Amino acid sequence: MTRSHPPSRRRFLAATASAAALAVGRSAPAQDGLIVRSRRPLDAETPVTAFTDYLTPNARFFIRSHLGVPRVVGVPWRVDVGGLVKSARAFSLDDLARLPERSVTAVLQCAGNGRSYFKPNIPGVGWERGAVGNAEWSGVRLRDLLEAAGIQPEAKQVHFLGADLPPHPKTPVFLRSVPIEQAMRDEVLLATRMNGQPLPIAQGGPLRLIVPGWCGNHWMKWVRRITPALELADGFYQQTAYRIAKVPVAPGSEIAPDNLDYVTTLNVKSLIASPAEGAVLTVGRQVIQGVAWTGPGRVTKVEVAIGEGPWKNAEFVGPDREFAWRTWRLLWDFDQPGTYTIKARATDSNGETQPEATPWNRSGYLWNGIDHVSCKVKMS
Amino acid sequence: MKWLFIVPLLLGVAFVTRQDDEEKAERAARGQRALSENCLMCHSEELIVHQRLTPSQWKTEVTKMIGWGAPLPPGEVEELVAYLAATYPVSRGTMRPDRIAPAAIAEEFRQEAPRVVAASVLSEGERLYVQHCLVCHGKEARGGDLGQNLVGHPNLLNLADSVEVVRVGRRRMPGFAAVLNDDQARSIVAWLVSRPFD
Repeated sequence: MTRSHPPSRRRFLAATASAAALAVGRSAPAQDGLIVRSRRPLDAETPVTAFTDYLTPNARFFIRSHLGVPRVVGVPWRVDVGGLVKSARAFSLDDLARLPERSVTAVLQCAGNGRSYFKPNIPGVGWERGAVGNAEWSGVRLRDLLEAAGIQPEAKQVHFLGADLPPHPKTPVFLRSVPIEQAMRDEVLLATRMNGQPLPIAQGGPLRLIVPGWCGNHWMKWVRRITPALELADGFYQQTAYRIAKVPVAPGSEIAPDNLDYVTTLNVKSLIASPAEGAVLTVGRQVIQGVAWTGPGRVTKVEVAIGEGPWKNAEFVGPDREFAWRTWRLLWDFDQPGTYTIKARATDSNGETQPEATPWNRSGYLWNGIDHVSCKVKMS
Repeated sequence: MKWLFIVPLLLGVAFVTRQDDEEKAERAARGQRALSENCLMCHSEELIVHQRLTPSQWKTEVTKMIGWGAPLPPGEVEELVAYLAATYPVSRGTMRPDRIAPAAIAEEFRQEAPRVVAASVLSEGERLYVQHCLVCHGKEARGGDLGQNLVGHPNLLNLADSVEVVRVGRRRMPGFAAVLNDDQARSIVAWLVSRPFD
Protein backbone atom coordinates (compact mmCIF):
# COMPACT_ATOMS: atom_id res chain seq x y z
CA MET A 1 0.00 0.00 0.00
CA THR A 2 1.37 3.41 -0.88
CA ARG A 3 0.74 6.40 1.27
CA SER A 4 0.82 9.98 0.13
CA HIS A 5 2.07 12.79 2.30
CA PRO A 6 -0.66 15.00 3.72
CA PRO A 7 -0.98 18.25 1.73
CA SER A 8 0.46 20.37 4.52
CA ARG A 9 3.64 18.30 4.52
CA ARG A 10 3.92 18.54 0.72
CA ARG A 11 3.55 22.31 0.93
CA PHE A 12 6.18 22.40 3.65
CA LEU A 13 8.58 20.37 1.50
CA ALA A 14 7.92 22.58 -1.52
CA ALA A 15 8.47 25.71 0.55
CA THR A 16 11.71 24.27 1.93
CA ALA A 17 12.90 23.42 -1.55
CA SER A 18 12.14 26.95 -2.79
CA ALA A 19 13.89 28.46 0.22
CA ALA A 20 16.91 26.24 -0.41
CA ALA A 21 16.99 27.32 -4.06
CA LEU A 22 16.81 30.97 -3.04
CA ALA A 23 19.41 30.47 -0.32
CA VAL A 24 22.03 29.48 -2.86
CA GLY A 25 21.02 32.35 -5.11
CA ARG A 26 19.66 30.22 -7.94
CA SER A 27 16.15 29.71 -9.10
CA ALA A 28 15.05 26.11 -9.42
CA PRO A 29 15.51 25.02 -13.06
CA ALA A 30 12.23 25.54 -14.84
CA GLN A 31 10.84 22.45 -16.49
CA ASP A 32 10.06 24.57 -19.54
CA GLY A 33 13.69 25.72 -19.67
CA LEU A 34 16.08 24.77 -22.44
CA ILE A 35 17.69 21.33 -22.36
CA VAL A 36 21.41 21.71 -21.67
CA ARG A 37 23.79 19.73 -23.88
CA SER A 38 26.89 21.72 -22.90
CA ARG A 39 27.03 24.27 -20.10
CA ARG A 40 30.15 26.18 -21.25
CA PRO A 41 30.05 27.18 -24.03
CA LEU A 42 26.27 26.94 -23.79
CA ASP A 43 24.60 24.50 -26.16
CA ALA A 44 20.94 24.07 -25.29
CA GLU A 45 17.88 22.89 -27.17
CA THR A 46 14.23 23.90 -27.02
CA PRO A 47 11.70 21.41 -25.61
CA VAL A 48 9.58 20.53 -28.65
CA THR A 49 6.40 21.27 -26.73
CA ALA A 50 7.24 24.96 -27.39
CA PHE A 51 6.65 24.37 -31.10
CA THR A 52 2.89 24.71 -30.84
CA ASP A 53 3.55 28.39 -31.72
CA TYR A 54 4.42 29.61 -35.21
CA LEU A 55 7.26 31.84 -33.96
CA THR A 56 9.73 30.51 -31.41
CA PRO A 57 10.24 33.16 -28.69
CA ASN A 58 13.77 34.56 -28.43
CA ALA A 59 14.11 33.45 -24.81
CA ARG A 60 13.31 29.85 -25.71
CA PHE A 61 15.23 29.63 -28.96
CA PHE A 62 17.96 26.96 -29.02
CA ILE A 63 21.55 28.09 -28.52
CA ARG A 64 24.59 26.68 -30.32
CA SER A 65 28.03 28.04 -29.49
CA HIS A 66 31.20 26.74 -31.09
CA LEU A 67 33.84 28.72 -29.29
CA GLY A 68 32.15 30.67 -26.53
CA VAL A 69 30.49 34.03 -26.46
CA PRO A 70 32.63 37.05 -27.32
CA ARG A 71 32.38 40.30 -25.47
CA VAL A 72 30.19 42.54 -27.62
CA VAL A 73 29.04 45.29 -25.27
CA GLY A 74 31.30 48.30 -24.95
CA VAL A 75 32.98 47.42 -28.25
CA PRO A 76 32.25 49.84 -31.11
CA TRP A 77 30.86 47.16 -33.42
CA ARG A 78 31.98 47.18 -37.00
CA VAL A 79 32.01 44.68 -39.80
CA ASP A 80 34.98 44.76 -42.17
CA VAL A 81 34.24 44.00 -45.83
CA GLY A 82 37.46 43.24 -47.70
CA GLY A 83 38.94 40.75 -50.16
CA LEU A 84 37.59 40.92 -53.73
CA VAL A 85 35.95 44.35 -53.46
CA LYS A 86 36.78 47.66 -55.14
CA SER A 87 37.21 49.45 -51.83
CA ALA A 88 37.58 47.58 -48.55
CA ARG A 89 35.58 49.32 -45.86
CA ALA A 90 34.19 48.96 -42.38
CA PHE A 91 30.48 49.32 -41.67
CA SER A 92 29.27 50.41 -38.26
CA LEU A 93 25.84 49.40 -36.98
CA ASP A 94 24.73 52.97 -37.80
CA ASP A 95 25.94 52.53 -41.39
CA LEU A 96 23.88 49.34 -41.62
CA ALA A 97 20.83 51.11 -40.22
CA ARG A 98 20.97 53.51 -43.20
CA LEU A 99 20.50 50.63 -45.68
CA PRO A 100 16.94 49.45 -46.49
CA GLU A 101 15.55 47.13 -43.82
CA ARG A 102 14.39 43.67 -44.85
CA SER A 103 12.69 40.89 -42.92
CA VAL A 104 12.36 37.17 -43.49
CA THR A 105 10.68 34.49 -41.40
CA ALA A 106 12.88 31.44 -41.54
CA VAL A 107 13.73 28.19 -39.81
CA LEU A 108 17.13 27.99 -38.18
CA GLN A 109 18.20 24.41 -37.57
CA CYS A 110 21.56 23.13 -36.39
CA ALA A 111 23.03 20.71 -38.96
CA GLY A 112 23.47 18.20 -36.11
CA ASN A 113 19.88 18.34 -34.79
CA GLY A 114 18.88 14.71 -34.14
CA ARG A 115 22.49 13.44 -34.02
CA SER A 116 21.71 11.22 -31.03
CA TYR A 117 19.29 9.14 -33.13
CA PHE A 118 22.02 7.84 -35.46
CA LYS A 119 23.33 4.36 -34.65
CA PRO A 120 26.16 3.54 -34.10
CA ASN A 121 26.77 6.53 -31.82
CA ILE A 122 28.54 9.56 -33.25
CA PRO A 123 30.74 11.99 -31.28
CA GLY A 124 29.48 15.55 -30.97
CA VAL A 125 26.77 17.52 -29.21
CA GLY A 126 24.01 15.00 -28.49
CA TRP A 127 21.08 16.93 -29.92
CA GLU A 128 17.69 15.24 -29.94
CA ARG A 129 14.76 17.12 -31.52
CA GLY A 130 14.92 20.76 -30.42
CA ALA A 131 17.99 22.38 -32.04
CA VAL A 132 15.60 24.21 -34.36
CA GLY A 133 13.28 27.20 -34.26
CA ASN A 134 11.35 29.60 -36.48
CA ALA A 135 11.78 33.36 -36.14
CA GLU A 136 11.35 36.62 -37.99
CA TRP A 137 14.82 38.00 -38.76
CA SER A 138 15.31 41.65 -39.73
CA GLY A 139 18.30 43.57 -40.95
CA VAL A 140 19.94 44.40 -44.25
CA ARG A 141 20.55 42.35 -47.36
CA LEU A 142 24.06 40.95 -47.55
CA ARG A 143 23.97 41.85 -51.25
CA ASP A 144 23.44 45.55 -50.44
CA LEU A 145 26.55 45.50 -48.26
CA LEU A 146 28.65 43.67 -50.83
CA GLU A 147 27.54 46.02 -53.60
CA ALA A 148 28.23 49.08 -51.45
CA ALA A 149 31.81 47.83 -51.11
CA GLY A 150 32.00 47.10 -54.85
CA ILE A 151 32.21 43.31 -54.98
CA GLN A 152 34.38 42.12 -57.89
CA PRO A 153 32.69 39.94 -60.54
CA GLU A 154 35.28 37.15 -60.18
CA ALA A 155 34.31 36.42 -56.54
CA LYS A 156 33.00 32.86 -56.20
CA GLN A 157 32.67 32.55 -52.41
CA VAL A 158 32.06 34.87 -49.48
CA HIS A 159 33.93 34.10 -46.25
CA PHE A 160 32.49 34.96 -42.83
CA LEU A 161 34.30 35.29 -39.51
CA GLY A 162 32.68 35.99 -36.16
CA ALA A 163 34.13 37.64 -33.07
CA ASP A 164 34.23 34.38 -31.12
CA LEU A 165 37.94 33.75 -31.06
CA PRO A 166 39.28 30.24 -30.39
CA PRO A 167 40.50 29.51 -26.86
CA HIS A 168 43.90 28.28 -28.08
CA PRO A 169 46.16 29.16 -31.04
CA LYS A 170 45.85 25.56 -32.26
CA THR A 171 42.03 25.55 -32.11
CA PRO A 172 40.58 26.30 -35.56
CA VAL A 173 38.66 29.52 -36.04
CA PHE A 174 35.01 29.18 -37.01
CA LEU A 175 35.54 30.48 -40.53
CA ARG A 176 32.90 29.54 -43.10
CA SER A 177 32.00 30.41 -46.65
CA VAL A 178 28.82 30.71 -48.71
CA PRO A 179 28.84 30.41 -52.53
CA ILE A 180 28.34 33.77 -54.26
CA GLU A 181 25.07 32.80 -55.99
CA GLN A 182 23.58 32.01 -52.58
CA ALA A 183 25.13 35.03 -50.85
CA MET A 184 23.56 37.43 -53.39
CA ARG A 185 20.02 36.11 -52.97
CA ASP A 186 17.32 38.49 -51.72
CA GLU A 187 16.52 36.56 -48.56
CA VAL A 188 20.12 36.41 -47.27
CA LEU A 189 20.40 39.02 -44.54
CA LEU A 190 22.69 40.40 -41.89
CA ALA A 191 20.20 40.54 -39.05
CA THR A 192 20.18 42.93 -36.13
CA ARG A 193 16.67 42.05 -34.92
CA MET A 194 14.87 38.82 -34.11
CA ASN A 195 11.10 38.62 -33.65
CA GLY A 196 11.00 42.42 -33.45
CA GLN A 197 13.56 42.67 -30.65
CA PRO A 198 17.27 43.52 -30.79
CA LEU A 199 19.10 40.31 -31.72
CA PRO A 200 20.09 38.69 -28.39
CA ILE A 201 23.81 38.17 -27.76
CA ALA A 202 23.04 34.45 -27.30
CA GLN A 203 21.76 34.42 -30.90
CA GLY A 204 24.77 36.22 -32.37
CA GLY A 205 23.80 39.82 -31.58
CA PRO A 206 24.51 42.46 -32.61
CA LEU A 207 24.94 40.96 -36.10
CA ARG A 208 24.20 37.52 -37.51
CA LEU A 209 24.17 36.10 -41.02
CA ILE A 210 20.79 34.67 -42.02
CA VAL A 211 20.79 32.09 -44.85
CA PRO A 212 17.15 30.92 -45.15
CA GLY A 213 16.77 27.32 -46.30
CA TRP A 214 20.37 26.49 -45.35
CA CYS A 215 21.65 24.76 -42.20
CA GLY A 216 22.76 26.74 -39.15
CA ASN A 217 26.47 26.18 -39.86
CA HIS A 218 26.17 29.02 -42.38
CA TRP A 219 24.32 31.40 -40.03
CA MET A 220 27.50 33.00 -38.65
CA LYS A 221 27.03 34.66 -35.26
CA TRP A 222 28.72 37.91 -34.12
CA VAL A 223 29.82 38.71 -37.72
CA ARG A 224 32.98 40.85 -37.81
CA ARG A 225 34.56 40.10 -41.18
CA ILE A 226 33.11 39.47 -44.64
CA THR A 227 35.53 38.57 -47.42
CA PRO A 228 34.53 37.80 -51.02
CA ALA A 229 37.12 35.38 -52.46
CA LEU A 230 37.86 33.00 -55.31
CA GLU A 231 38.06 29.85 -53.22
CA LEU A 232 36.27 28.18 -50.30
CA ALA A 233 37.39 29.30 -46.86
CA ASP A 234 40.42 27.54 -45.39
CA GLY A 235 40.43 25.58 -42.18
CA PHE A 236 38.72 22.75 -40.37
CA TYR A 237 35.17 24.12 -40.30
CA GLN A 238 34.92 24.54 -44.07
CA GLN A 239 37.39 22.00 -45.44
CA THR A 240 36.81 19.03 -43.08
CA ALA A 241 33.66 19.48 -41.00
CA TYR A 242 30.08 19.64 -42.32
CA ARG A 243 30.44 16.90 -44.88
CA ILE A 244 27.94 14.20 -45.72
CA ALA A 245 28.06 11.21 -48.09
CA LYS A 246 26.58 11.80 -51.55
CA VAL A 247 25.80 8.09 -51.76
CA PRO A 248 24.92 6.51 -48.39
CA VAL A 249 27.55 4.26 -46.81
CA ALA A 250 27.25 1.41 -44.32
CA PRO A 251 26.89 2.74 -40.74
CA GLY A 252 30.25 3.25 -39.09
CA SER A 253 32.27 2.97 -42.31
CA GLU A 254 34.67 5.48 -43.84
CA ILE A 255 33.45 7.71 -46.66
CA ALA A 256 35.68 7.96 -49.75
CA PRO A 257 36.82 11.57 -50.41
CA ASP A 258 35.07 11.68 -53.80
CA ASN A 259 31.82 10.64 -52.11
CA LEU A 260 31.85 13.64 -49.74
CA ASP A 261 29.47 16.53 -50.22
CA TYR A 262 29.01 19.78 -48.30
CA VAL A 263 26.15 20.15 -45.84
CA THR A 264 24.20 23.09 -47.25
CA THR A 265 20.39 23.09 -47.50
CA LEU A 266 17.90 21.77 -44.97
CA ASN A 267 15.94 18.61 -45.76
CA VAL A 268 12.25 17.94 -45.26
CA LYS A 269 11.28 17.30 -41.65
CA SER A 270 8.35 17.42 -39.22
CA LEU A 271 8.06 17.38 -35.44
CA ILE A 272 5.14 16.53 -33.18
CA ALA A 273 4.87 19.33 -30.61
CA SER A 274 1.77 18.00 -28.88
CA PRO A 275 1.07 15.59 -27.34
CA ALA A 276 4.40 15.47 -25.57
CA GLU A 277 6.41 12.27 -25.31
CA GLY A 278 4.92 10.27 -22.41
CA ALA A 279 1.76 12.41 -22.20
CA VAL A 280 -1.36 10.97 -20.61
CA LEU A 281 -4.52 11.75 -22.60
CA THR A 282 -8.14 10.85 -22.12
CA VAL A 283 -10.42 8.90 -24.43
CA GLY A 284 -12.18 11.20 -26.87
CA ARG A 285 -11.14 13.93 -29.30
CA GLN A 286 -7.52 15.12 -29.06
CA VAL A 287 -5.46 17.62 -31.05
CA ILE A 288 -2.23 16.34 -32.55
CA GLN A 289 -0.11 19.24 -33.76
CA GLY A 290 3.36 20.21 -34.79
CA VAL A 291 5.55 21.89 -37.37
CA ALA A 292 7.13 20.94 -40.70
CA TRP A 293 9.76 22.56 -42.90
CA THR A 294 12.18 21.98 -45.73
CA GLY A 295 15.04 23.77 -47.48
CA PRO A 296 14.33 25.58 -50.76
CA GLY A 297 10.78 24.66 -51.76
CA ARG A 298 7.61 24.13 -49.79
CA VAL A 299 6.22 21.49 -47.48
CA THR A 300 3.28 20.05 -49.43
CA LYS A 301 1.95 17.38 -47.06
CA VAL A 302 2.15 16.22 -43.47
CA GLU A 303 0.78 12.78 -42.62
CA VAL A 304 0.10 11.33 -39.21
CA ALA A 305 -0.29 7.68 -38.24
CA ILE A 306 -1.67 6.53 -34.91
CA GLY A 307 -0.75 3.12 -33.60
CA GLU A 308 -0.89 0.65 -36.47
CA GLY A 309 -3.40 2.81 -38.33
CA PRO A 310 -2.96 4.22 -41.86
CA TRP A 311 -1.27 7.55 -42.66
CA LYS A 312 -3.80 10.39 -42.60
CA ASN A 313 -3.28 13.90 -43.96
CA ALA A 314 -2.93 16.60 -41.31
CA GLU A 315 -4.35 20.06 -41.97
CA PHE A 316 -2.03 23.06 -42.37
CA VAL A 317 -2.77 26.01 -40.11
CA GLY A 318 -0.96 29.34 -39.91
CA PRO A 319 1.04 31.21 -42.57
CA ASP A 320 2.54 29.65 -45.70
CA ARG A 321 5.90 31.30 -46.41
CA GLU A 322 8.96 29.91 -48.11
CA PHE A 323 11.81 29.26 -45.62
CA ALA A 324 9.49 29.38 -42.58
CA TRP A 325 7.93 26.29 -41.07
CA ARG A 326 4.28 25.35 -41.38
CA THR A 327 2.19 24.54 -38.37
CA TRP A 328 -0.18 21.61 -38.79
CA ARG A 329 -2.77 19.69 -36.79
CA LEU A 330 -4.97 16.64 -36.85
CA LEU A 331 -8.02 16.05 -34.69
CA TRP A 332 -8.19 12.43 -33.62
CA ASP A 333 -10.83 10.50 -31.68
CA PHE A 334 -9.24 7.98 -29.34
CA ASP A 335 -11.95 5.31 -28.82
CA GLN A 336 -10.02 2.95 -26.60
CA PRO A 337 -7.63 3.40 -23.67
CA GLY A 338 -4.12 2.10 -24.27
CA THR A 339 -0.59 3.06 -25.22
CA TYR A 340 -0.23 4.64 -28.64
CA THR A 341 2.67 5.62 -30.86
CA ILE A 342 1.93 8.69 -32.94
CA LYS A 343 4.07 9.23 -36.03
CA ALA A 344 4.43 12.19 -38.39
CA ARG A 345 6.13 12.55 -41.75
CA ALA A 346 6.33 15.47 -44.16
CA THR A 347 6.71 15.64 -47.95
CA ASP A 348 8.03 18.66 -49.87
CA SER A 349 7.65 20.18 -53.34
CA ASN A 350 10.90 18.46 -54.40
CA GLY A 351 9.10 15.12 -53.92
CA GLU A 352 11.15 14.21 -50.84
CA THR A 353 9.46 12.42 -47.92
CA GLN A 354 10.93 11.80 -44.48
CA PRO A 355 12.40 8.28 -44.29
CA GLU A 356 12.08 5.89 -41.34
CA ALA A 357 15.72 6.65 -40.55
CA THR A 358 18.18 9.01 -42.20
CA PRO A 359 21.19 7.26 -43.80
CA TRP A 360 24.09 7.20 -41.33
CA ASN A 361 26.84 9.78 -41.88
CA ARG A 362 30.08 10.14 -39.96
CA SER A 363 29.22 13.37 -38.13
CA GLY A 364 25.51 12.90 -37.60
CA TYR A 365 24.11 15.67 -39.79
CA LEU A 366 20.62 16.31 -41.14
CA TRP A 367 18.64 13.67 -39.23
CA ASN A 368 15.09 13.71 -40.61
CA GLY A 369 13.71 10.30 -39.67
CA ILE A 370 9.93 10.06 -39.18
CA ASP A 371 9.08 11.73 -35.87
CA HIS A 372 7.22 9.78 -33.21
CA VAL A 373 5.95 10.13 -29.66
CA SER A 374 4.44 7.59 -27.34
CA CYS A 375 1.49 8.47 -25.13
CA LYS A 376 -1.07 6.81 -22.87
CA VAL A 377 -4.80 7.18 -23.32
CA LYS A 378 -7.01 6.62 -20.26
CA MET A 379 -10.73 6.63 -19.63
CA SER A 380 -11.90 10.11 -18.70
CA MET B 1 40.90 -29.28 9.60
CA LYS B 2 40.36 -28.09 6.03
CA TRP B 3 39.16 -24.74 7.25
CA LEU B 4 42.69 -23.96 8.43
CA PHE B 5 43.71 -23.77 4.76
CA ILE B 6 40.59 -21.99 3.61
CA VAL B 7 40.85 -19.01 5.96
CA PRO B 8 44.23 -17.75 4.69
CA LEU B 9 42.99 -18.33 1.12
CA LEU B 10 39.90 -16.19 1.72
CA LEU B 11 41.98 -13.51 3.42
CA GLY B 12 44.33 -13.55 0.43
CA VAL B 13 41.45 -13.18 -2.04
CA ALA B 14 39.99 -10.35 0.03
CA PHE B 15 43.38 -8.60 0.08
CA VAL B 16 43.87 -8.93 -3.67
CA THR B 17 40.31 -7.72 -4.33
CA ARG B 18 40.81 -4.73 -2.07
CA GLN B 19 44.09 -3.95 -3.78
CA ASP B 20 42.37 -4.22 -7.19
CA ASP B 21 39.60 -1.91 -6.03
CA GLU B 22 42.11 0.61 -4.71
CA GLU B 23 44.08 0.56 -7.95
CA LYS B 24 40.88 0.94 -9.95
CA ALA B 25 39.80 3.89 -7.81
CA GLU B 26 43.23 5.50 -8.18
CA ARG B 27 43.17 5.07 -11.96
CA ALA B 28 39.69 6.59 -12.07
CA ALA B 29 40.83 9.51 -9.93
CA ARG B 30 43.83 10.09 -12.21
CA GLY B 31 41.56 9.93 -15.28
CA GLN B 32 39.13 12.37 -13.71
CA ARG B 33 42.02 14.72 -12.85
CA ALA B 34 43.43 14.52 -16.39
CA LEU B 35 39.99 15.40 -17.75
CA SER B 36 39.55 18.28 -15.32
CA GLU B 37 43.01 19.78 -15.89
CA ASN B 38 43.23 19.41 -19.65
CA CYS B 39 39.70 19.65 -21.04
CA LEU B 40 37.62 21.85 -18.79
CA MET B 41 39.44 25.15 -19.31
CA CYS B 42 37.79 25.40 -22.74
CA HIS B 43 34.48 23.57 -22.25
CA SER B 44 32.51 22.10 -19.39
CA GLU B 45 32.16 18.38 -18.84
CA GLU B 46 28.59 17.80 -20.14
CA LEU B 47 30.02 17.64 -23.63
CA ILE B 48 32.04 14.61 -22.51
CA VAL B 49 29.89 12.86 -19.93
CA HIS B 50 26.77 12.81 -22.08
CA GLN B 51 28.54 10.93 -24.89
CA ARG B 52 28.69 7.15 -25.20
CA LEU B 53 31.53 6.08 -27.49
CA THR B 54 33.76 3.11 -28.26
CA PRO B 55 37.40 3.10 -27.04
CA SER B 56 38.62 3.93 -30.56
CA GLN B 57 36.14 6.82 -30.86
CA TRP B 58 37.31 8.19 -27.49
CA LYS B 59 40.92 7.92 -28.65
CA THR B 60 40.07 9.83 -31.86
CA GLU B 61 38.37 12.57 -29.84
CA VAL B 62 41.25 12.93 -27.37
CA THR B 63 43.78 13.00 -30.24
CA LYS B 64 41.72 15.67 -32.01
CA MET B 65 41.58 17.80 -28.87
CA ILE B 66 45.35 17.51 -28.31
CA GLY B 67 45.74 18.77 -31.88
CA TRP B 68 43.47 21.68 -30.95
CA GLY B 69 45.62 22.63 -27.96
CA ALA B 70 44.55 20.46 -24.99
CA PRO B 71 47.77 20.40 -22.90
CA LEU B 72 47.48 16.70 -22.01
CA PRO B 73 51.00 15.32 -21.44
CA PRO B 74 51.79 12.37 -23.77
CA GLY B 75 52.24 10.06 -20.77
CA GLU B 76 48.62 10.61 -19.67
CA VAL B 77 46.88 10.03 -23.00
CA GLU B 78 46.34 6.30 -22.66
CA GLU B 79 45.08 6.61 -19.12
CA LEU B 80 42.57 9.34 -20.04
CA VAL B 81 41.29 7.34 -23.04
CA ALA B 82 40.93 4.23 -20.86
CA TYR B 83 39.09 6.25 -18.22
CA LEU B 84 36.66 7.75 -20.76
CA ALA B 85 36.08 4.39 -22.47
CA ALA B 86 35.39 2.68 -19.13
CA THR B 87 33.22 5.45 -17.67
CA TYR B 88 31.23 6.47 -20.75
CA PRO B 89 30.96 3.31 -22.86
CA VAL B 90 28.38 2.64 -25.57
CA SER B 91 26.81 0.01 -23.31
CA ARG B 92 25.89 2.51 -20.60
CA GLY B 93 22.67 4.55 -20.70
CA THR B 94 22.81 8.32 -21.02
CA MET B 95 22.06 10.69 -18.16
CA ARG B 96 19.12 13.02 -17.95
CA PRO B 97 20.29 16.46 -19.07
CA ASP B 98 19.86 19.58 -16.93
CA ARG B 99 17.47 22.37 -17.81
CA ILE B 100 18.29 26.06 -17.88
CA ALA B 101 15.52 28.61 -17.34
CA PRO B 102 15.21 31.58 -19.75
CA ALA B 103 15.97 33.97 -16.86
CA ALA B 104 19.25 32.16 -16.14
CA ILE B 105 20.21 32.34 -19.83
CA ALA B 106 19.48 36.07 -19.88
CA GLU B 107 21.68 36.53 -16.82
CA GLU B 108 24.45 34.47 -18.33
CA PHE B 109 24.55 36.50 -21.54
CA ARG B 110 24.11 39.88 -19.83
CA GLN B 111 27.06 42.12 -20.67
CA GLU B 112 27.72 45.59 -19.35
CA ALA B 113 30.09 48.09 -20.86
CA PRO B 114 33.48 47.93 -19.13
CA ARG B 115 34.34 50.85 -16.87
CA VAL B 116 36.59 53.54 -18.28
CA VAL B 117 40.01 53.33 -16.64
CA ALA B 118 42.99 55.68 -16.71
CA ALA B 119 45.74 55.13 -19.29
CA SER B 120 48.24 54.69 -16.44
CA VAL B 121 46.22 51.71 -15.16
CA LEU B 122 46.24 50.14 -18.63
CA SER B 123 50.00 50.54 -19.03
CA GLU B 124 50.57 49.10 -15.56
CA GLY B 125 48.27 46.19 -16.49
CA GLU B 126 50.21 45.58 -19.68
CA ARG B 127 53.54 45.64 -17.84
CA LEU B 128 52.30 43.13 -15.25
CA TYR B 129 50.76 40.93 -17.99
CA VAL B 130 54.10 40.74 -19.77
CA GLN B 131 55.88 39.94 -16.52
CA HIS B 132 53.52 37.29 -15.12
CA CYS B 133 51.01 36.06 -17.71
CA LEU B 134 52.61 36.20 -21.16
CA VAL B 135 54.62 33.02 -20.67
CA CYS B 136 51.40 30.96 -20.73
CA HIS B 137 48.77 33.20 -22.37
CA GLY B 138 51.02 34.36 -25.19
CA LYS B 139 51.81 37.60 -26.91
CA GLU B 140 48.91 40.04 -26.97
CA ALA B 141 47.00 37.55 -24.75
CA ARG B 142 45.95 35.49 -27.77
CA GLY B 143 46.73 32.16 -26.14
CA GLY B 144 49.82 30.00 -25.74
CA ASP B 145 50.60 26.34 -25.17
CA LEU B 146 49.22 26.35 -21.64
CA GLY B 147 47.03 29.40 -21.32
CA GLN B 148 43.94 30.18 -23.34
CA ASN B 149 43.15 33.23 -25.47
CA LEU B 150 41.87 36.10 -23.35
CA VAL B 151 41.03 38.67 -26.03
CA GLY B 152 37.28 39.24 -26.05
CA HIS B 153 36.82 36.66 -23.30
CA PRO B 154 33.38 37.32 -21.78
CA ASN B 155 34.42 36.28 -18.27
CA LEU B 156 36.63 39.38 -18.09
CA LEU B 157 33.43 41.40 -17.65
CA ASN B 158 32.97 39.63 -14.33
CA LEU B 159 35.66 41.66 -12.59
CA ALA B 160 35.35 39.98 -9.20
CA ASP B 161 35.69 36.50 -10.69
CA SER B 162 38.56 37.53 -12.96
CA VAL B 163 40.48 38.98 -10.00
CA GLU B 164 39.77 35.76 -8.12
CA VAL B 165 41.28 33.73 -10.97
CA VAL B 166 44.43 35.88 -10.92
CA ARG B 167 44.67 35.60 -7.11
CA VAL B 168 43.98 31.91 -6.48
CA GLY B 169 44.26 30.33 -9.94
CA ARG B 170 41.91 27.90 -11.64
CA ARG B 171 42.50 24.33 -12.82
CA ARG B 172 46.04 24.29 -14.24
CA MET B 173 46.60 27.98 -13.65
CA PRO B 174 48.43 28.81 -10.42
CA GLY B 175 47.36 31.69 -8.16
CA PHE B 176 49.40 34.90 -8.05
CA ALA B 177 48.22 36.23 -4.67
CA ALA B 178 51.77 36.03 -3.34
CA VAL B 179 53.11 38.43 -5.96
CA LEU B 180 50.12 40.51 -7.11
CA ASN B 181 47.73 42.52 -4.98
CA ASP B 182 44.07 43.11 -5.93
CA ASP B 183 44.75 46.49 -7.57
CA GLN B 184 47.43 44.94 -9.73
CA ALA B 185 45.12 42.04 -10.66
CA ARG B 186 42.42 44.58 -11.58
CA SER B 187 44.82 46.53 -13.78
CA ILE B 188 45.74 43.33 -15.67
CA VAL B 189 42.05 42.57 -16.21
CA ALA B 190 41.43 46.18 -17.37
CA TRP B 191 44.24 45.92 -19.93
CA LEU B 192 42.89 42.56 -21.17
CA VAL B 193 39.41 44.05 -21.56
CA SER B 194 40.91 46.86 -23.66
CA ARG B 195 42.44 44.48 -26.23
CA PRO B 196 40.80 44.82 -29.66
CA PHE B 197 39.32 41.97 -31.72
CA ASP B 198 41.99 42.44 -34.42
